[in-house]
Amino acid sequence: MHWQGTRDVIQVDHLTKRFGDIVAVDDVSFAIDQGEVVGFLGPNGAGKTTVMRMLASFLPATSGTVRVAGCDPFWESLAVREQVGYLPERVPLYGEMRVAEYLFHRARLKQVAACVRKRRVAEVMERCGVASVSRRVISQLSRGYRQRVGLADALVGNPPILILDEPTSGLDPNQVRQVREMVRELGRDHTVLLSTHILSEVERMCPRVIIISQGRIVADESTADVMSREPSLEELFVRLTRTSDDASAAQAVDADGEGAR
Amino acid sequence: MRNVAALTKRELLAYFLSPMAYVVLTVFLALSGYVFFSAVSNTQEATLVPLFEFLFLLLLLISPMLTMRLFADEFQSGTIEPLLTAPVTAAEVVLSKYLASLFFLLAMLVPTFVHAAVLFAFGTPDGGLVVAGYLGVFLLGGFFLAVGLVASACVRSQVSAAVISIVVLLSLLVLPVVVPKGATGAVSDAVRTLCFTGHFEEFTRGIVDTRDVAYFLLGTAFCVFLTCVLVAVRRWKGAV
Repeated sequence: MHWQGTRDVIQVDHLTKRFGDIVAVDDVSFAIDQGEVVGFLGPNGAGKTTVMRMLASFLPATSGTVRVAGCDPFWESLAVREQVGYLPERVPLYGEMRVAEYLFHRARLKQVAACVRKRRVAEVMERCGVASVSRRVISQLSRGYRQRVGLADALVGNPPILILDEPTSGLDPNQVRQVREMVRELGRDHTVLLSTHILSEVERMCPRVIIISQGRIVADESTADVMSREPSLEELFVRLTRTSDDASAAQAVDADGEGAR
Repeated sequence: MRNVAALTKRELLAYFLSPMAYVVLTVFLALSGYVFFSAVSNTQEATLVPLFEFLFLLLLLISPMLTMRLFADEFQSGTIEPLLTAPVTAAEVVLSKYLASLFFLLAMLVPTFVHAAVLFAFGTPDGGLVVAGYLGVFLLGGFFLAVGLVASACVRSQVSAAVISIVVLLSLLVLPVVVPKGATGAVSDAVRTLCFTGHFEEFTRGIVDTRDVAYFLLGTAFCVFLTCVLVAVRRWKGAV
């Protein structure tokens, strides 16, 4: 089932998305090779989720073209969805179902063959650390467990492409480390695009970063390059994505500090 | 259509994992049992027609409660996002939600077969009338559920969805009453043809007319189709 073709698994050209008058994504272009693990960074409201939703064929683009696994998410939506494991930002789950039951249902939707479904679900539960809560009702799980059930759902169909919107949010440091190891492991035979706010994680997890601010791409380079030039990824991130609001807030804090002195 | 079975199973699970299902089932069976008992003991007639006429009103009030959750809840909680990014089509999703509600309708109707069995055991009811009546009730219930399905796909709030479907169904119920009896002309004919009351009454008289069957089937199919369009439009507008 794995898609074979040109090396660019995700191709985005002059992608724009408008919601009424608001331009959420503005002329964004990038390409991701097979097997790459890319960190997708940006402040809240920069357009990360919108781009990821368009890649996962949940939203249509206003203009520009997107190719995921060689298919257009609008016209060949089903083909794209078969190739993509998607973790939505808010991790919406059916609260009334039990963890194993939910994953089993999702595996069935994702065409995991009946004979291997049980094994596959057990495998991803083990891998994502939710095996111990497999009989629990989802609505009673903590944020960290819910997050990992969502992650298990993204993985259960064993798709070649993973689009993970903040996979580490709500996790404690131990769990963040587990997810980091997992992403690194997945990167060997999967293409991964993930967004996060934990920049130190990106430095260790993703060989390449794309930074987006106010709907535009402001940086797209290898993490090693950034690290050799900048003191840290955070420096670059703050410099590139600081808006006038942030600047005035920072100024106000400075002024307060002086006033106190 | 390969995913319909899996999706329907989940929807049914959602029905029966909530306390609502049991409340609705209990109320439905208790009320219909009482109506059956009082009708038979008052008239001493072996007929289910009073029951069918009561189910007409009861289903009108109950079906919005069964359908309000279907889409509104998915929009509200955001679960529509993983659902529509899995390799399933919108039509499959709509159809399975509708099928699940139909199964629930069956789960409400089948226990009332006991009443028919009682009549057959202790009297000689008209078998054709019983069959026609149940067919009418099922078609009518299916139509009500389809209307509720459309309402549920329109809004994010379950309460709004229930209110919309009740208002639509009540208007369809009241319209032919507003048009004076015996009035002729294109408008009153059109109103009587479009509203479900007259079509349902034929079944309670034991008449299975193709026109009445077609009315319910076409109305239901139209509503299901409309829901598919609504879901697709909401999705591509980013309004889900």
